[in-house]
Amino acid sequence: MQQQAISTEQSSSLTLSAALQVVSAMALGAALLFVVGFAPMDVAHNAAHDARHSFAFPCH
Amino acid sequence: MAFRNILLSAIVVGIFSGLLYGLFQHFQISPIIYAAETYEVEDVAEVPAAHGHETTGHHEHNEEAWGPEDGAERIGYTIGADIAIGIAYALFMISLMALHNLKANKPKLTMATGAAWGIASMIIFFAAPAMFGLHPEVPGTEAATLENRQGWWTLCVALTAAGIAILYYAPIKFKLGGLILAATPHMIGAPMPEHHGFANTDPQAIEALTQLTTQFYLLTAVGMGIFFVLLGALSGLAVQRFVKLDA
Repeated sequence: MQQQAISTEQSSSLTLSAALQVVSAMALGAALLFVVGFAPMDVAHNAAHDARHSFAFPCH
Repeated sequence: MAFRNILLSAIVVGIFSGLLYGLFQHFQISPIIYAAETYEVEDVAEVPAAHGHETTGHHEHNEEAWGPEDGAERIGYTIGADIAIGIAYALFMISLMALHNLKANKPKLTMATGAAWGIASMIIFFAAPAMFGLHPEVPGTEAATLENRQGWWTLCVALTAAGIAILYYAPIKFKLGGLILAATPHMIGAPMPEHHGFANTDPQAIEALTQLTTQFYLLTAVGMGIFFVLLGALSGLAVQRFVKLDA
């Protein structure tokens, strides 16, 4: 009984926030792109160095 | 579950397109990077040991930060990074396609229109920032401060994307605004170094690096074209088949 109530609540709130979920997915993409392509730490740079060059990201 | 479907689709699309680009890079682009690195000189005046490129062309980093060993480890990290960038781009692409299907009063995405989105992405992420601004560069090329170039790159990508979106979605009277927006970063101008050229001043090295740069530019352009069209087509398919927003 209680569980059913919770799942109904969840599905309705998720339906409402479809656009919000889409925006969250984009934010995740931006964070990932930053870490792999742009993060200034030497370790991130060295690991992804050749990929950064090949995607024509600003490097060095 | 829009978020989960987008994430799972993006991972699959990113793995396929990133892996393909990684293989293309391994056979076509990385040899150029390795060749360019043999001409790299330690720039003592500027941030010593910031990147640790050796004159020998080996990618050793001595006492500085960790870096993958040349050979299998370096290739592995490169392909891994290509896949990660593929997933990041796929997250953008599939999210925007989902928003399009959710909100726009235009035909829903398919594999074919996805490929067209791929071409638009190629313009946004490669042609505008790299071909019209910061050209693809081999290691050892003189360039302006990294942070300025990264800032300009981000601005250029954002404004080109916004410009294309306006051209596609907005009523006719606003479309000129899209063109102006996309042109703005180029009117500001990409940050350029005080003098163009390479860190290595040996004439033979300059000639070799100039040739390598031309090859590098051509091959990254071809590779990016393949990568983005595949990414767009697969994203279009994923959105059509797997991303259900009205769940």
